[in-house]
Amino acid sequence: MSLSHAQLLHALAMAQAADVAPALAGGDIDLNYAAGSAATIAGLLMFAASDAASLAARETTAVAAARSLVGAAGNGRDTRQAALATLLEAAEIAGDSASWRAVMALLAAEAAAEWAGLGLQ
Amino acid sequence: MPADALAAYLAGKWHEPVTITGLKRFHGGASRQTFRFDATGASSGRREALVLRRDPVSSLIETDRAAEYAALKAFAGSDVPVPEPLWLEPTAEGFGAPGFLMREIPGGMAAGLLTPEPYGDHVGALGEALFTALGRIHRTAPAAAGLAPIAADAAAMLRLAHWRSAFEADRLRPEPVIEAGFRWLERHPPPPAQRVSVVHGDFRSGNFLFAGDRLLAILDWEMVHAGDPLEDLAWVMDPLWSHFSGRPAALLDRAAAIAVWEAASGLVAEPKALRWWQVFAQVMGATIWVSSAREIADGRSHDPVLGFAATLPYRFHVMTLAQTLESLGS
Repeated sequence: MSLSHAQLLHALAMAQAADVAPALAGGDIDLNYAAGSAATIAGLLMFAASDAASLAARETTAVAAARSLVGAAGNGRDTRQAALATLLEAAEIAGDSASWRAVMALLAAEAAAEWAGLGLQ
Repeated sequence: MPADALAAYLAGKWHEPVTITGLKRFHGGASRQTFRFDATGASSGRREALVLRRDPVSSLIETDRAAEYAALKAFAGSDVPVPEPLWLEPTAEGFGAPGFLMREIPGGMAAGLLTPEPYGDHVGALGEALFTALGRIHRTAPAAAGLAPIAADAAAMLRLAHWRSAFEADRLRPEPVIEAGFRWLERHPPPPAQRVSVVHGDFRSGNFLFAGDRLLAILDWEMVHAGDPLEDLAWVMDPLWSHFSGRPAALLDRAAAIAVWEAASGLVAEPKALRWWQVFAQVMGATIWVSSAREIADGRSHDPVLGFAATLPYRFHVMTLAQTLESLGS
């Protein structure tokens, strides 16, 4: 996710407390909106749970795949992505299409794993 | 949104006391708050089902309500079905936030993003109607919707600069795929637009109302602008809006959709140009989802719709963009 789990869960808790609960209690004009919000919150919690469950294995795979290109900088999702970004841009400047494809293939594989981590398929 | 405020507003327009009933807020719109209600005139008995679209505190995208209203005005009563706009209020006076009123389209529904095959047996007729409507929009000169013209050879780079600026402002984490997407688009500019027209800006499954095989209304014009018609065609054909069907908008197959659009617009979807706009669509989408994450990360919003955008569509577009770039090469 572009948000951390903590950021997402905080926002969902806020939405539940500020939007969903008052509307359920009051039965007011926002009830329809609150029902939609509640359903979206439920879906996001399922995605987050699925994501958390697959995170460790995904990270191990990504670190191993990136090791030959970025070494220890591959430990940790954001440092790895930053290191791969640097390699990608350097390959573009050098006109090194083979290296560029190798880096993009790594990024595509990690992006596919992150998508699968949501548990939709 | 208090009913009293709406009643007072409409009383001023109708010159009689007005009663508001059936007021409810719709879920889902991330760039506007949308309410529907019934208004009844006390002396005339006049009764109308209306929709209010007003600005939220925090939005998925910064959009121009006046442009949206003008676009609805331009197409109301034409062969591009839209809700009829009634009054625009550019300030918070009247609706509590800037917004506008339009007539409700009765009996229609919009497809949810994750609903499989939402159009059932009506994909042929509805697909024909939808891609024809899109082509008709693209026959329309920007001036007709009050939009300033742009040069045909500037359309692509203007849009790219717009979204690049949004991305740079809102990025939260390293985003090598999106960055590479922007650079690819800059290195491989498309040919000039065949025509500069009205571009809806968010034309896709989920942003139109239908009933059976009938297209009732094109909605959500808040991103309307002057530009290259291929921008809309690429966006509606993006796999994110396919409901996992493999068909553009879960309607016609790709070749048929393009053929219907070409017949209605009088334009040609030149493959190289369309490919550029398809990469652009993924980069634009990814940027919108990054911006939605920024709204939440900075505490400006806790709207679950923004949380959803920052999760599922974000990961989808980063994945498809990476795969597309890998196949295209640097």
